[in-house]
Amino acid sequence: MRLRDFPEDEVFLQGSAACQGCPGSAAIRVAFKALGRKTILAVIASCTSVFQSPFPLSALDVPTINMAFATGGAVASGITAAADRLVARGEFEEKPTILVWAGDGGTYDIGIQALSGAAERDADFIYVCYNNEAYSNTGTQRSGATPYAAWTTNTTKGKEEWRKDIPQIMVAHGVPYVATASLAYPTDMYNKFAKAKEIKGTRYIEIQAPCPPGWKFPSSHTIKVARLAVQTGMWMLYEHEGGKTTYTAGTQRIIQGQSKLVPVEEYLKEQGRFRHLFSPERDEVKIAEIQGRMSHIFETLQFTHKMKEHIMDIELAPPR
Amino acid sequence: MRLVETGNHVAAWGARLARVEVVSAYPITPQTQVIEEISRFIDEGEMDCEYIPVESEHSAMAAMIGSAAMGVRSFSATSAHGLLYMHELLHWAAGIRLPMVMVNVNRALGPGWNIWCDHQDTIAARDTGWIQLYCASHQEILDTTIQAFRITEDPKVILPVMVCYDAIFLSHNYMQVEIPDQETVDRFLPPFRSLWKLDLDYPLTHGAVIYPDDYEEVRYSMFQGLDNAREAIKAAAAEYRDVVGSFHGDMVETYRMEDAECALVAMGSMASEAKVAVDELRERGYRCGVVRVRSYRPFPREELRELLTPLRAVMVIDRSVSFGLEGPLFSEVKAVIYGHSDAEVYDIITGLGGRDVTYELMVENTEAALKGRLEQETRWPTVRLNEHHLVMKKGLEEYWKKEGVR
Amino acid sequence: MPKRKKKEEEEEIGFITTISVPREGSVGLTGSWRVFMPVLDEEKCNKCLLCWIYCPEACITKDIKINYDYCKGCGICAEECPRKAVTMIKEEKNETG
Repeated sequence: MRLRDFPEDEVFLQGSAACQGCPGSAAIRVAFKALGRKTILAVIASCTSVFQSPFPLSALDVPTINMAFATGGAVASGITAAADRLVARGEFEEKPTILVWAGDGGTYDIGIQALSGAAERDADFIYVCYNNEAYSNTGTQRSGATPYAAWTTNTTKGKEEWRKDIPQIMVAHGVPYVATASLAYPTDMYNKFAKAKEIKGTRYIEIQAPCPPGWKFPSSHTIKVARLAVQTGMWMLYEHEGGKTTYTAGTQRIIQGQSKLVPVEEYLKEQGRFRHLFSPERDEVKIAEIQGRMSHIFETLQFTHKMKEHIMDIELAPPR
Repeated sequence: MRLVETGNHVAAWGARLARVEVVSAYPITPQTQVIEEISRFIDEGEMDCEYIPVESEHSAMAAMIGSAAMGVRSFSATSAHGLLYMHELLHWAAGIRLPMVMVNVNRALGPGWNIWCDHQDTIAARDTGWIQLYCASHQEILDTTIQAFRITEDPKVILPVMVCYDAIFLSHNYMQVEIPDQETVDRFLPPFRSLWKLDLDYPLTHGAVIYPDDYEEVRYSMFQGLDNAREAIKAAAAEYRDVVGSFHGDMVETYRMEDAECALVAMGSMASEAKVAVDELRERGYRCGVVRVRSYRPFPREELRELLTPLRAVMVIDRSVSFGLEGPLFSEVKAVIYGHSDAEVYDIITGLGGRDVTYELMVENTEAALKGRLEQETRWPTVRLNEHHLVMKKGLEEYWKKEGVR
Repeated sequence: MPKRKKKEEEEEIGFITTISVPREGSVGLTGSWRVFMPVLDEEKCNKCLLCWIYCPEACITKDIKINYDYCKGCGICAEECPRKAVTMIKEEKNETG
């Protein structure tokens, strides 16, 4: 899939209340290019609840229900069950895509119960978590997705805990499709949405959404920061399907040796929320901790990848 | 078809005959048999319905809102802590202006796990914008559940309806019921309709940010919807009587009020007991009657005003309490006759946590009121310390002594 | 006992709920938010479409025309263009505008 083949149709209507450089609106644009208009959208309390603009005009040109914070998986379960009834009765020729659009707050923390329940029931919908790693809509408080050492308004010295990993939690639920995506890799994101659209059951896609006011970087750097996240390993791109994980795009290139893992500092330096790691003095311990983790993950994956290739070579070579 | 059934099973029959298409519910004693029976109907092919076994009551209400938004007839059931857990979304369900029906089995609240009957759970939800109808018999549960769909889908209403009935006395006891056939119910209840839905051919957004300049009208529209519900409730009851045959009053149900000088006002199964009390009071020479409040929201303002204004005395029996004030039904009865009547209004709070409310208690208190021996304020006539309370007190006193408290 | 006043005629406002209709410019002409505006050098542009897909406001068309009514001047298009065909220029604005 190439950019020139992306449909021109826009479900997101310009002139919205989104911040300059908003990753949320950028992500929803790409998602809908792949999913199309035959989609029922549930927006869970998040920045998206606000950037779609206030009553009585909407920047979203699909049927949309805004819902309370903890309800993502549950409201989708109701919508999808009703859609099944409408198909059974012949009111729908084809079942539309049911899409939940939630932030990390509504997914990692207050929304995890409803998501887990829906996943256990394998309810038929796509759940998107666009993850700006904090409660952005309420002014950047910490969430379960906030990374280690990040400043937020209630972790002013930097968060002391490492973050949760909801994509892996979804893998543990055994749902048919789990993927991570990045704004800096739009064709990869498109392909994942296009694939998810054709699968039945609970599908989970998490998009990292670098937030200019929350992470404190210029609004023109949203894509740059997203790219650095992947290049340094701080955001990994993969999909999990049929019990198998496949790394994709930038992450795949690092694992397969086509790109070098960029030092994590390059990513952290770009963001004001990590400024205390560099100024007034460098916090070598914390930077090393973060780098250590990235290096460990990728060395392991690179090693495993080399082993697989090596084993494949052995198997393919004829016995002498 | 005549059956001897529990109230819970009968509520399930109501949902089935109303051709509900999506049920989302979480089990809680004493509601569980409602959803078990619905599951059985579905599994045996007797109901074309999707059942979503959600993982909490908050999710049950969220799922019901989702299915109603798709334009499909939706149903749930809960009780006590389940109702409380979904409280946030009760407001949402009313505010989203979609038709929905939920059964609530009236059960007491903890702490102290108490699975028996009182009305605190639904009274605590009285300001949510839901219509609340209280039943006093199994037949009424069936009939009211079906009527509820008619009321909620009325274009001048479009607000959700809660069908309330007492834990154990109605949910679990067996009574004889007449189950109408599907064709009869179909004549009473037209197919689902609502004023908006999630429509692929006409995209609309519901529930975005709304500023102070625009919000009050949304709430006023709901307020008017609840007012319009009065007519809808009366029409549904009258038409149900014509088409199906049974009738249990509309906004209120009265007993021996034609020549009454005094009324007992109550909700739920206690009001049936009150009929026995009234018969006894009349034996003793007091012209009493019963006014059973069937529709608690919208509150039967006109009906109570008309019935109670000419009376000498009113004895309200509350099965819940508004802490810091008085019995809630007491407050509201006084509010609607204020400025219209010289009647003395009395109140007893009783029956909490399933404590039995006897007709003797009602007779004793009403007679005392009529003899001028009571104050016009909330009283708790059945409160008394027993051995269990004394064990608890002693235990704490030992602890306090040990810890040097007091 | 105070006499009750006659209830004023209540205005029947009908069905009002928080339903919004989809519309471009839902929050107005957001171009007024800009301090800097993107200017395209068409000679340098090779229609790679990156600015089109990266624009958070969907105000660049697929044939790379920028809608200045809505462009908020975030600068992503200029930052990401591989040919440096887009430049951010400080806009001349009226004091009253």
